[in-house]
Amino acid sequence: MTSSPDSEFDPKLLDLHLGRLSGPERAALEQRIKNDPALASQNEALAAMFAALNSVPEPELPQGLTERISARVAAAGPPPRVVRPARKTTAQLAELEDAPLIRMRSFREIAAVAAMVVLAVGLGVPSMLHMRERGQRIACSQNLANIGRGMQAYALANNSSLPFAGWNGNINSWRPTDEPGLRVLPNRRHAYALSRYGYVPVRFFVCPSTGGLPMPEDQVRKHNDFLESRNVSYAYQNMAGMRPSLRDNPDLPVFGDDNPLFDNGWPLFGSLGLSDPANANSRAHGGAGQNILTIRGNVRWTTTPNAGINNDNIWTLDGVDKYTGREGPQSSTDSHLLK
Amino acid sequence: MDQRSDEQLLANHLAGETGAFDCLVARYARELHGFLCRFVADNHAAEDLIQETFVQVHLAANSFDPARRFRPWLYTIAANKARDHLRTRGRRQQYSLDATGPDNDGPAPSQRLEAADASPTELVDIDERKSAVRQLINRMPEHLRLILTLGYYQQLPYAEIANILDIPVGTVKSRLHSAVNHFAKLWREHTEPGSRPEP
Repeated sequence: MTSSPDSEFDPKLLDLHLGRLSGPERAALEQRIKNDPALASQNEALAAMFAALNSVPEPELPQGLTERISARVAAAGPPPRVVRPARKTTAQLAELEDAPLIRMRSFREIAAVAAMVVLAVGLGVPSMLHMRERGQRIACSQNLANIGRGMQAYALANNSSLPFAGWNGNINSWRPTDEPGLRVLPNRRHAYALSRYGYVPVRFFVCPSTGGLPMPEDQVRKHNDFLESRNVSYAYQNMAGMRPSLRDNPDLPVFGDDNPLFDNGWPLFGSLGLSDPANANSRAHGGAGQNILTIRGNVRWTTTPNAGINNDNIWTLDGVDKYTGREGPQSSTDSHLLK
Repeated sequence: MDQRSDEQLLANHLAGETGAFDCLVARYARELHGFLCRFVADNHAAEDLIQETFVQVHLAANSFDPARRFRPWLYTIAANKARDHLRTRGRRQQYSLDATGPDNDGPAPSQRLEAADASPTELVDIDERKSAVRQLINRMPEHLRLILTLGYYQQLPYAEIANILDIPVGTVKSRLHSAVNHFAKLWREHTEPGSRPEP
């Protein structure tokens, strides 16, 4: 055993003088002291120090102290009773564990907790999803409102005309085609003018419900169309026919969530098994409905596609059954929103 | 002398046996008084504290766990009373480790015995040494003074001290060694003026 850094003496020596060594330990240490002069020197110093400690005698017990103690104890009155909870034996605890009542209560508690969890999940999750969808729907309507302001500014600067990127019905098709002599001009390209000329930041063309991706702002002025389909979520009025202006009916829907009957110009009638195309809503918000923007700049949520003027279906052209990619509105009240 | 255990005496006291508690008082008054006198270094305070300790033992007797030993419990109560006293009144530099001191008349019996064959000069030396030892002990930190009193003067077993102070046995041992080393350092400074630090 070694001494601690601040110790002046061998711990065994301390134990010796404190009377904490057994007979054999004491004998062994005394032998070491005889053979080790340094240890002997320590022992001498310790002996002197303990002699000093011993010089202070034990205090004398004052006369009559025990009687005074007894008197004070008697004056204190009886000790207050302390109620200790009885300790249960192992057998009693085992009985409690096996008790049917306890099991039943535990089962009921578990069932109650499980029911609460199911209820919480059953009500909470749909509620949470509903709240999320509502938030996205509101953000979508704000996008369209911004597009509406940009659209009106554009029209004011362009003789009341809505955004238009040119169209030649003899050589252009808004539907993808390999037909010789035809050049595909997606309808979305007309709407692109709003970003191309700085009326609407390109990020407003992405609805948060669709998982789209905004086109990089620094690329906007270098192109004449959205780079990818996912850069735009909204359908724009078909500009292959009669083109609307600010002078037309202000309630005409001209922008809205994407058309469920066309996929980037491809007609989807029948191919996706739309049982009731006449009543199909945009898929952007789970088929619940769509936000639409009118010439006036109003944005509203509608749960039916028949939201145009005189209940016009905003996804289709009046009087057209087969879409080749060159068809356009033939009246100023016919909406056909297309990407 | 009553051969019953401390715990049995306490149980009998609770059961209403007259005199059982007096047996406990008689059994422990002397050593507890010695402990308190040395620890608080004030005879009058020690007298009060030992009375308060036994009153507390009596009042708390129903809460005593019969599975435990009585003596550590008694010392725990006494040590707590003493520490409360020291904290309330502040540490005193005026003290008396035995019946001799400023509050007593004449020398203590032990001193009278020791002085019987001593010359007047030797008596002065003995008095000075006792006084110096008392002062040095009282300069020690409270926790070291407490363990020195319990471990050296009271000669309580390590396990019992550990029980009283609620610390591990190993800590008791190392703390007692620290206390002895601390006193040794003070003693050397006292006896070797060259090594004594400036106050």
